[in-house]
This record gives sequence, structure tokens and C-alpha cells, in this order.
Amino acid sequence: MTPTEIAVIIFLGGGLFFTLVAAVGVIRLPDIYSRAHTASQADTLGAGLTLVAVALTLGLEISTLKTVLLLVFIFITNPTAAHAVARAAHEQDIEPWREDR
Amino acid sequence: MVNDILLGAAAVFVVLVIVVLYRAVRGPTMQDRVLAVNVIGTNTVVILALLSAALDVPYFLDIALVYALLNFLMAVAISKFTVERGGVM
Amino acid sequence: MEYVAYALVIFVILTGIATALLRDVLAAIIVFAAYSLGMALLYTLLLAPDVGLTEAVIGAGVTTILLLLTIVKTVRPGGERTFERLDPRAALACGALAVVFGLTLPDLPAVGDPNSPILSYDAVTGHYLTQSYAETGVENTVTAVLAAYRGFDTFGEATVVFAAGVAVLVVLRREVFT
Repeated sequence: MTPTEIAVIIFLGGGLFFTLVAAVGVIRLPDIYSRAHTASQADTLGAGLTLVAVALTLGLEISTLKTVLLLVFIFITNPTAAHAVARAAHEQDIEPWREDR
Repeated sequence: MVNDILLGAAAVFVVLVIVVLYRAVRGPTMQDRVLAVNVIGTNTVVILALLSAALDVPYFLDIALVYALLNFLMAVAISKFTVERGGVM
Repeated sequence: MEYVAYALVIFVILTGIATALLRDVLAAIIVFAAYSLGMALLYTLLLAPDVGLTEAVIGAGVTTILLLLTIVKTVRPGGERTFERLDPRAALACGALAVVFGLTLPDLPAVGDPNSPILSYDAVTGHYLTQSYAETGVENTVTAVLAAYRGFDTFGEATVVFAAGVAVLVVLRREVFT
């Protein structure tokens, strides 16, 4: 196995792990704010690591540039969308979850 | 061999999308659903990128870019819609 | 690749059933957007990227916006229940119909099969596949048929869609229903 392949597998494993964490978080966490938290952070990192793996597989060509563009775009828009969703929830007076209730 | 691994990863991502679908259907609030669909959309973009590299079809990446744009727009539009007045950004 | 396709088919069927059963209209619209994304991914996987792109833009983008605007102008049925109640007889009839349609699936040729009837017995398809580049200079056969051979037809379609868009904008601008 070449070093590139090893790097691809490592990044892909990381991406899968963090996306799995995001999926578990979206299913298991108690309220919308904590779910927005895991969706914006764990999912963005998972998608980013996987896209890095894809870019490494492609090597140096024009597709790699598009993948990097996609990565930058997801890194900017995903937390922004989660912020918009959380703020919409706040405007609708949805109470945050607390342990004592 | 790397192509097979990429395809396998894409299959795992689709399974995760099905798992997240539970939150989109179950709710309970509208924002939960929007958030779940946003996560589904992000995973869709990643699946497309993985398929593009695995099947060696470069134009899948253009479609992935369009999806990423659309996904962001959809999340912001529905959030904006559920709030009666005022901004969400 | 087969596993990705199978998982996507399961996803699309689940979203379709959820869209039909959800009681809240807004929830159904949101889940329908997810359905559109899955469907578009499936089209792209079957190497029809133009159809996939159209499905994503129309299904997840335009339809969502139009339906949202519609429920702004009308009312949203509320209620405690998440799902609509299901009539067992209707569900049984729908299931039976789906099984009957599904029975025809094994007779369809495989994806990309060169011996499928449409490719092997049809002189028209062969003509387009072999001659379209020489006659029109367009590399993609589908695009050649859409934009060159039936150009006037496509032009008429585009006119209809444009007129419909203008009509929708005019109606929304006047806001007669508020």
C-alpha cells in the first residue's frame, strides 16, 4: 500500500467516525439546541475529513479543486444553517432541555 | 482497492442517512426536522463526492456543488419561514 | 455500487411513506425535500445526471418554496398526532397494487444491457446513436435529441414554463388571498 492510500483510509475512517457521532447525536440528544450543536460541529468535521480523503484519491487535477471548493463551502454553510435553525427555534420560544425537569 | 473502500464508505453514509431520517420524521419540533434534513443533505453531498472518486465520473462533483448550495438555501428558507417576523441569520 | 443503490431505494421508499403519513403539512414538505434528495442521488447513480440535477432543483428547491408559499396563504391543520390514521383496507389495496406492479420488474432489461429491445431491434435508436454527432455536432445524444432534433418542441416547453413562472409571480405579487 502506498502512503497516499494509507492517508486516504485514515481520513475516511475519521470522517465516518465523526459522521456516525453526528448521526447518534441527532437521534439521541434531548433537545433542538444540543442537536443543532452536534449537527453543526461533528457533521461538518465528518464531511470535511471525507472530502479530504476524496481529494487525496483524485490527486492533482481540476476535480481536486472542486472538492476543496466543496469542503470550504460546507465548512462555511453548515454551521450557518445550524445557527439559523437554532435561532428560529429560539424565536419560537422553544425551551432548552434541563436535567431537573 | 481504494475504489472499493470509497464505495463501502458511501454505502455506510447512506445507512447513516436512513438513521437520521428517524429524526426528520419523528420531530418533535419543526426545527428538528429542518436540522435532520440539513444533515441528510450534507451527507448526500459527501456520498456524491465519494461516488465521483470511486466510479471515476468527474462531473458528479458539479452536481455535488449544486446540492450543497441548494441544501443551505433550503435550511435557511424553512427556518425563515417558521419564524413569523425577524431574521434568523 | 449495488449496496449503495439498494440502501438508497430503502431510503426513498421510507421517505415516500413518511410523506404520505405525516399529519402536519409542513413536516410532510420537509420530509418530501429529503425524498427528492434521495431520488436525485439515485438518478445520478444510474448515470442520468441531468435528470438528477432537475429532480434536485425542482423537487427539493422549487416545489418546497411553492408549497411553503401555499401554506402561508392557507391554513395548516394542527393536532397532537404525528401520523395520520391508516385505513387498513386502503393500505391493503395499495400494498396489493404495489405488489402487482412489482411483479413486472423482473421482466425489465438490466441497466445498460446492450441486448435490451430498445437498443437491438429499434432502427430509430440506432440512427440517433450513430448519426447524431455527424448531423448536429452535439456530443451528448440526449442533448442532441432535446435541443436539435426536437428543438421547436423544447422551445415551446420552455415558453410554457416561463409563462407559468410569470403567472405565479403576478399572482403572488398581488397577494389577493391575505
